[in-house]
Amino acid sequence: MKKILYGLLFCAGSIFAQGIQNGQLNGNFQSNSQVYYEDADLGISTENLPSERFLTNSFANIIYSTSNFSAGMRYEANQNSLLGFDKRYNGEGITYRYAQFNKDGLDITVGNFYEQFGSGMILRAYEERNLGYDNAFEGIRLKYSPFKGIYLKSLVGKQRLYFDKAEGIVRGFDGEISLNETFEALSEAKTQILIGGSVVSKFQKDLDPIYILPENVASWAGRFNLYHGKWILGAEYVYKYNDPSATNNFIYKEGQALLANVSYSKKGFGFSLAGKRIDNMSSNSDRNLKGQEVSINYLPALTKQHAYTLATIYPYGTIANGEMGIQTELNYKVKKGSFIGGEYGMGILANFSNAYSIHKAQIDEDTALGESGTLGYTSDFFKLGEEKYFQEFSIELSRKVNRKLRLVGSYINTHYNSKVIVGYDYHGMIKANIVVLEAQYKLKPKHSIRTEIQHLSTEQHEGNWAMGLVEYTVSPHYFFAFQNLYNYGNETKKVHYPNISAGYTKGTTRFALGYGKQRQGIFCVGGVCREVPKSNGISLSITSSF
Amino acid sequence: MRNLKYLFAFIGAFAISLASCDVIEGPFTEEIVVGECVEKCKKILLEDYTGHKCGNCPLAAEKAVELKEIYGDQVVPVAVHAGFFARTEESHFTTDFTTDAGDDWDTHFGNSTAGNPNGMVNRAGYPESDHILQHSQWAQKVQQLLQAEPDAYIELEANYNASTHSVSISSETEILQSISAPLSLNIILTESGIIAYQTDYTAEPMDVPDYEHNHVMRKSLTGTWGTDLGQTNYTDGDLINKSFSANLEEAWIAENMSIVAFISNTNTYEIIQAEEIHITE
Repeated sequence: MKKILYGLLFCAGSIFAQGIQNGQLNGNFQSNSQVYYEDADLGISTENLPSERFLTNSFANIIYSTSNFSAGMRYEANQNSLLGFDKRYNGEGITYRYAQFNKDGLDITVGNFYEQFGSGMILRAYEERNLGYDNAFEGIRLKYSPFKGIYLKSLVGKQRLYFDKAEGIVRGFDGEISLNETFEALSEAKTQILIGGSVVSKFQKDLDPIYILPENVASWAGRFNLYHGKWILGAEYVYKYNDPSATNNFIYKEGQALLANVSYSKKGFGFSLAGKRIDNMSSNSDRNLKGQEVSINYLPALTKQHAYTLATIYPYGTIANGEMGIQTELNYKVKKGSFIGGEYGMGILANFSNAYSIHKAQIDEDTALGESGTLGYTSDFFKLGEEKYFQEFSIELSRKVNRKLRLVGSYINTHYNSKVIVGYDYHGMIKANIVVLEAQYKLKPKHSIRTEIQHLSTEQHEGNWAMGLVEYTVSPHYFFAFQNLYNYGNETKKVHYPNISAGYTKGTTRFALGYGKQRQGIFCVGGVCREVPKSNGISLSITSSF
Repeated sequence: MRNLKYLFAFIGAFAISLASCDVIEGPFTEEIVVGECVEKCKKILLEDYTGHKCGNCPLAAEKAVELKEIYGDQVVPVAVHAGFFARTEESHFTTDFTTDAGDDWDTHFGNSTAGNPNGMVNRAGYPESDHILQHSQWAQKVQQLLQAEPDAYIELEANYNASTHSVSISSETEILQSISAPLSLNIILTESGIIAYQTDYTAEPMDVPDYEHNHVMRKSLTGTWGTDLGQTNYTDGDLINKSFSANLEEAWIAENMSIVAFISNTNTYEIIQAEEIHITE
């Protein structure tokens, strides 16, 4: 590893030697391991267990940086990958290495890099370790600001595909202008305006003997953000030319995406409304891959990201082939001293979101909807489809009762189209009501206890769930927790999922040890999801940084 | 001036990105003209790893049918039911389409863990990860492999005995090009026209009760990895004869069944030739 780091430093050239000498070295390390056991209640027998019994995902980042230069690398060792992560992550090696330097205002990155243009609907490379998701580019990226307020980016590269790279080459350009920075006359204006545009093109050779495939597929986007006092208004539109792929069943229709949002906030009050329309917008570095592992773009889910366990049972995953939806959020702080607000005031957070199919019509009488090797379908831009994918209303009330006690109560109502979202497990439209009560109590200085009581009721899928959690924290070093999920409404088998865990933190190093059962389900972050298998075992997590 | 120089470079990048687009106006497909093969043609084994609870798998099955229509006898499809989606359930999915050999292949090549549906074309590419192909990649691999001359040719003959519901099979393998590797001959039985439940995400309802399952692997007569053809060096013109027999299960309909044979390189698992005949022909 040292040799490679020194190699990167050497490659940067003698021009930067002066700057390199006064740099900083920092890094971080994370290791998650689990031992897996049989479990008759969960139906896990010897045959279902991983042959290794013990699995571990570990990585370390090491970065050297000076004022105008940085170089770094990440070493990963997944021997072998934890259950629920793609087995193509099994292995070890340097999966990310880069050198970046800035000369005369030109910022140059060679090697691996993450990037986002606009909202990400046209291009976004990022890492979400909990999902096992990493679509980093390997190539070259340039950033430059030729004039005040004008920011340009261009890149060319291939995306990471586990321990390999995807077949396609991605080229991209993004430009953004801040009118208030660029034009002196607007520098004092109350309204701040940002305007941006992007072009992305991918190349993949056409080797298919049946389809005449576009080897170069381009997309373009335009966006603006407007800030006026307490108001923010923004929108982005993306257009993608014909991109037949395994995801859209090899249709040649164009893709379109529109995301718009408006928000207002002042002390004690905030409001936001966002809407989106996505039509045939899956964009992969490899047209033959149906998953999201080499997505060039990111399509936001526009739903609330929940943290409470039972509220994460039915998470929404973006439907790239077509969806329309809105999300609105309201937060309000009831003044302290009022009847409702009490001595410390009360927070109210309400959220509503939904997603529907888009309108689709046959291109002609003889062609089935979405038939491969055709234009697929036509779609009225402003017309909703007939199928509801998702709907959720949630309200959260939080109130500090006294100096020691704080209470949070939540109610969530979810409509979840399992046929469309989950796909493999057909339970129709699942309608669930979730209630959560959380209490945090300070026993004495540095000692606090936190409890959660949760309940999910539904007549579909696995029926009702109840959950309880007790967590005791001794700041800043220790925590102990016990929780149990009980699927008491399951007609097939009523199963308990107990978990006990403890952690120790010293400085920037943290150890956490746990034992218990994990329910099978879907885990999503921002609309990107992975399956989590059921398991029983001991887990150990270590994180550290320097 | 320096600013302008960089600015022009970025504008150049913008122009290149924008210009890099191929818009296909139609037609979107082209007709494949398959040269007529009269004698001792190369024949490709297409393994479709599937499961009756796999909702995306009917699309792969359709692709196998499409390729069979295009390439005729030169493509031999086999549907291998294995993995999570092939498990039986008490409700609808009661038919057990799995086989011991199919399960072993699935475990060895990693198909179902890579996510159904997928398949292998002559098992080419193993042990690199690119031996597992999405159904959208099958056509290009078939086309590519058919460009080569056959290394061997298999002739099959079947005798079906209706009274005992059994079949005897004789095979003759002819080596057409010298090969320096051990070879294995695999004989399996397949059945088409089986009506049973299949999940299909494009159908409404998704669990289709009367789905027609075709080319379903029913049994291997040569274990998981076939029977050794006896040598490690073969020369052009070598002939190897083998015979086999099998009792068919009561539910199997002989008229819908085929015998599929294929020769694989024992060391690399790559298949060099396949053949298919109907049991009752």
